[in-house]
Amino acid sequence: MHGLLRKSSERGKVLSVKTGSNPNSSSLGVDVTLLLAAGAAAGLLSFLGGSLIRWMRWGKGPGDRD
Amino acid sequence: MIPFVKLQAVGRFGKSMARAEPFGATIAFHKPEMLVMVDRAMALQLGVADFPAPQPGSCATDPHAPYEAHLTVGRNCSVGCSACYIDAGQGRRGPVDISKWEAILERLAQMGVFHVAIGGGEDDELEDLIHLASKARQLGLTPNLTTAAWNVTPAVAKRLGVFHRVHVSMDGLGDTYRQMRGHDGFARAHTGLEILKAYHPHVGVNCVVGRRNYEELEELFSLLHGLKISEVELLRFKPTGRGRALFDSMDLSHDQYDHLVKKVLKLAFRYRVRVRLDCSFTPMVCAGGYDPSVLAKLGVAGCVAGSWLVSIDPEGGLSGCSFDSEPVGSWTDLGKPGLFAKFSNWTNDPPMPCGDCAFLDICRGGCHLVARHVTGDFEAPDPSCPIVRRWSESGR
Repeated sequence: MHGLLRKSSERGKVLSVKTGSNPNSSSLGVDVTLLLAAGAAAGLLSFLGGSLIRWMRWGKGPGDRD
Repeated sequence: MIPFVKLQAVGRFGKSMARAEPFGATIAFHKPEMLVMVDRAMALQLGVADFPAPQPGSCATDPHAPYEAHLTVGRNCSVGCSACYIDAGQGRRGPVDISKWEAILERLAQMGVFHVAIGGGEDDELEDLIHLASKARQLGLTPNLTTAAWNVTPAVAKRLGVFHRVHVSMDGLGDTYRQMRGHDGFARAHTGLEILKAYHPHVGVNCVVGRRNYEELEELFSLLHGLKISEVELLRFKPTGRGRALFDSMDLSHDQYDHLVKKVLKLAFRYRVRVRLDCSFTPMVCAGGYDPSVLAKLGVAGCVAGSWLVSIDPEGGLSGCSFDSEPVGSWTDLGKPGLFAKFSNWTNDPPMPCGDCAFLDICRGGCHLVARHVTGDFEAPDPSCPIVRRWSESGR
């Protein structure tokens, strides 16, 4: 319960979420489909991203990518 | 060296990677596929502590290293599109220097780049592209490909599985395709798309939107719906390569620019196709009346050349964007500070009306290469931005 009540400034926040990956070798593409429900989509994505991150636990620690 | 922290998600979300940034961290997920940018407080909880200093003149949201790199490995091509931005053509075959491109991939991996989009002329050796994609995978990079798909067979499609996503260039159906690309290649592209869809899990279409195919976009969306293709990326016509001479006849009209975003969202909803708009369309997204904070949260970004992305041409020239035909140096300069100052410093002293625009940090002036072509001034605001046009028309 304590964790849930911590201030958001302590927990940190999601700044942005970029979905998918860009297949195009000439410019940067951004998924705009979510603009159909802009405000709700942004909130939902931030919630999803934040939840996933908080759910994660440490792996091998600092080091190289594999 | 960029500090990384490996993260282990629970259950089916698999491994993820957190990369330290000046603002906090970027976390790359594979399932669901997304990049999540978090502030320092959240990054600290993930074990990311060594935050790199921001590049001089950069925006607060700029990463320490690019999110993606665009690699054009060659210019040999028999397809011969009339507006090819890399001016590819027949007889331009030079052996793809595999060792050079492997070294480039290693450098990009060291920098912490997440995605690479590999392209080139259609006749560049497929084996070379597949080899480089395999190398990218080994290095932890995610490779993607865009192709005209003229030479795709079931055997080829299976081998292209090494790419995470494969998109087919298709600017319309039938005669619209011919008008946009200057040759009658729709049937071959359509066949290639069908084969890819049968053998590859992530297939989509790239469509350059110009004055000649704007009204026919619904036909394309309908086709994609029928083929169960779930993603299309729409690209603005650029005045680069052979496209420079065609730009005036291909560039969208003001009315088309004004209605583009609403039109494609309507089509996305009707045909259940996800739409990606390229960075140069960001001024039109911003002019759509959305809250700037919502656009920022959704990762909408205008000219992020040299910060979010970099481009390397067949000769190894390094640019902030594939459409900038003036490389700032060689790929060996990757990571040097200040290389892309003309892009990254633009928001520090923007001209009006961008200086007063609520979307400045998102849009960053729109496409500077279009601005340079149309106005002769790289520093000018994007001349097709609806906000810029309204401001100009108001006589201020």
